[in-house]
Amino acid sequence: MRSARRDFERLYGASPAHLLGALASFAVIAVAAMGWFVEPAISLEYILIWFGGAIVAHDVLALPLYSALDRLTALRPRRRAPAHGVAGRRAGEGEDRGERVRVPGHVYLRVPAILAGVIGLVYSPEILGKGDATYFIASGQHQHVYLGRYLALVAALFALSGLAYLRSRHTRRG
Amino acid sequence: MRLPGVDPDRPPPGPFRHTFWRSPLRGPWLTAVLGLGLLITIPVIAVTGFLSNDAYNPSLGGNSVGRHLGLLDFYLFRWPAHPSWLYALTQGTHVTLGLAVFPILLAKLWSVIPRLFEWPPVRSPAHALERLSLAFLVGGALFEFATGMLDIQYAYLFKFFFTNAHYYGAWVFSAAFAFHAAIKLATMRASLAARRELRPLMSDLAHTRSEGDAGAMGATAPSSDLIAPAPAAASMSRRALLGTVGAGSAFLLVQGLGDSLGGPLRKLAILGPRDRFGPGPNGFSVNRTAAAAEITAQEVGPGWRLLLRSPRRSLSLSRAQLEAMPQHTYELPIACVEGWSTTQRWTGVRVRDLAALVDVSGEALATATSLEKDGVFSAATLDPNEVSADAMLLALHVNGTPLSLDHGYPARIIGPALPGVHCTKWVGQIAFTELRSA
Repeated sequence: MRSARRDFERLYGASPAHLLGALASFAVIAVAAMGWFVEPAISLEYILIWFGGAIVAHDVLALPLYSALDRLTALRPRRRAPAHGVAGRRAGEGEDRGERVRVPGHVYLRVPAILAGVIGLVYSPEILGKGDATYFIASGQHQHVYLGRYLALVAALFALSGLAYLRSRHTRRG
Repeated sequence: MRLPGVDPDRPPPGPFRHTFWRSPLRGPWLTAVLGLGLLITIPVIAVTGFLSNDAYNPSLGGNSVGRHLGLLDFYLFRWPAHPSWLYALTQGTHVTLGLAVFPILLAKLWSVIPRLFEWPPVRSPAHALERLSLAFLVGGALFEFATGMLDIQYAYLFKFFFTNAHYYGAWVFSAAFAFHAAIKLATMRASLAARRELRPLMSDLAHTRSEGDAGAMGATAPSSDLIAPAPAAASMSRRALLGTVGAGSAFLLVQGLGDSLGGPLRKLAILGPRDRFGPGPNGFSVNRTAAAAEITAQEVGPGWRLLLRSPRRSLSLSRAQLEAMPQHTYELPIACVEGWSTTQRWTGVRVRDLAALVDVSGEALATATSLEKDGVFSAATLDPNEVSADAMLLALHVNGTPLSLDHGYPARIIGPALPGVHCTKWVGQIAFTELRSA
């Protein structure tokens, strides 16, 4: 009995419970997916576009793009001042001397950019007025106020971060 | 298990090689902390979402709005009509938390992105099933988020019906999530324990090192393919990264809370889709204007009559006749599926008193039909515990003045724990169907 289980695990790569869990999960997924295609049916094409498209948009487009942007902003301070800041530091260095390490400049761009990006993405439909016609039918109001509010928020985020940057550069390091 | 043409020791260049990944912050601890955040919140979002489907009573009348009920439509309990804020709470939670969790989701996906390129791509049948399941997990999470956030902002960029897509998408996502949580729970706990739970949060930038750095984060730290073998120096600490994620979540949380709780918080919801409304007693959100519903002045003028129907008799009532009936006043929210709600003081006739007028006294369904021409929600069927609730009203007044045309003049349904779109406006007819006579 024990060896039968060992054989199973060697062939399958995990316990029988893992296989049961996987099968149960896929069974529910199959039943749910069938729900998509009964009347009023959603065409397979559109589901694939939205379901697969979401994965591609994130994994293949968004993530490499924001990583590349981050790397691009990190390049400048490193070239200018290799001796200062953490970007020029080897891993672990500084800590041994009990030194406070200065946050590299591009991080003061990274943090507000992350916040502005995520918030902008979440509210992109109303910021861009993509739902304005339907929104007007529903609420009797328009979506055009949101772009201005969003831009003000982005400006505030970068301004705050800029202040934090200036403060970090004018306090004595110790 | 070996795939033909795949040499496990020779990954293609680029992201398939471990050395491609440089961030010192990636590692099992970071992934486990973010995973824990999702493990706590996602079940709440899923359960409140399924409760919303329950609250619509999709098996009654046209309440399923075209969705055919299937195997997955089992209901463990009847949606209660008390307390009155129940649907505002569950749906406000669903939407607010659904938005707030998005930064955590993105960070979690960032933390495990090297796994997308793991080599060899498949190690065993179990591994193949896990990877297939991940497609439903990640696709499901992003699909549910995208359709949800487009819906609350009225941007129907997709060519399918939101309800169907989001509901079945929720089952796909939940099934994949349950499997993922089950197989990763032990890994998550071990990864947290190996770094002494939340201890890495105490490190400032100077002390932020790779999780693979021996002794840096706990002597028993197991190795992991998430750890960069040749990490760059840290440019921000783990707590700064999690703080940024948390700040994004907190902002989104406030937007959702402002739209659902209202009051002074609504002023903070600068991007919440529902923060503006006019002055006066009728100055609160609507979700379908009279103009959009093509309600004409003539239809709601002095000639308007409410038609009451039951298997026994029919009756026609003018607004003056309704006003002559016993009036009741309750504070009730309009609680929208989009997560916003607004509580007002409504006055009108009890729906169960109207049932009695047409000789219905036992358990009965009531279908209220609007005068509007072609709305998806132009009729809604109330279940017996809703029909018999004290606070289930055909409202004639709000905040002491007659309903405005946009709010459903001459008469609208409003009731406790009722989804917003079931609060039918410009009611022309209420038909009662007896399930059991008293």
